[in-house]
Amino acid sequence: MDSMGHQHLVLAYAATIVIHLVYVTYVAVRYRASGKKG
Amino acid sequence: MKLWRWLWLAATLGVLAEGFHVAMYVVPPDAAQGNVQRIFYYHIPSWAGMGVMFATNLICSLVYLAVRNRNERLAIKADSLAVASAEMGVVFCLIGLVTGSLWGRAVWGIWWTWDARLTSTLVLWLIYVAYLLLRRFAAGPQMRTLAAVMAIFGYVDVPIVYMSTRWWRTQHPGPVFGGAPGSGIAPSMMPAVWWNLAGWLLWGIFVASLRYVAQHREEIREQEAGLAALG
Repeated sequence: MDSMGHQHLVLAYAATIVIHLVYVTYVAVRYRASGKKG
Repeated sequence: MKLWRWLWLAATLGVLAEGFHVAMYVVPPDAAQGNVQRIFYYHIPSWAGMGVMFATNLICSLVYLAVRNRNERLAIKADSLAVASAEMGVVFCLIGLVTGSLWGRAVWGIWWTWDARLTSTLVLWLIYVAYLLLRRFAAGPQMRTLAAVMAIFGYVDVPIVYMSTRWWRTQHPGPVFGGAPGSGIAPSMMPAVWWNLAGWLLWGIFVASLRYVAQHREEIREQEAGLAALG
């Protein structure tokens, strides 16, 4: 694998995971907060 | 969180793990592009996920507009699901744009070009971000009606994005599936497509369902607070 292609493949995979993790964290916080009696 | 959601999450993570394994270690590298083509296995499921989520948002917006004066419970459910699916669609769209840009840098030598596919996709992302901002900064039943109308008009860009590589000459590659004769990918690569498609769709449905529950609870609470203030 050429180094540039390898670097971009890793970056694309990492970006996919990071964006999903950031969003699911936000959703988990909203989910928990909505379950508490106000 | 209910048991079925934990089971769904466990199944999803299993499918995603297998998808990663197949995409990175099992299917052969592309003859022309080499291993950077493996970005495709994350890029395509993001667009599929986006398509499912924005279509859900459209259907929910139509349902909301149809029943908002007749069936308030159903209207609140539809509105909550519209929000959840729009957010998840925006996330998938962002990942599609980012992974596409990384692939473009490696293969074309540029991060971005203003061709019809990329530009219409960026516009689509901005439309749904605007939809979410409208929901965030406005309030009340009129906001929901306005957001539903905006979602219907916003969806018009989805078929434009899909057809852009057929209607115009673009820097973006032509359609891989259902394109011209000779398009498509080798059958030996398809398992990576199917596993990742299944995994990311399961993930998108899981996250959107959690977001739906949170939104629905909030909207019910908001409605109850409004009724209490009146009474």
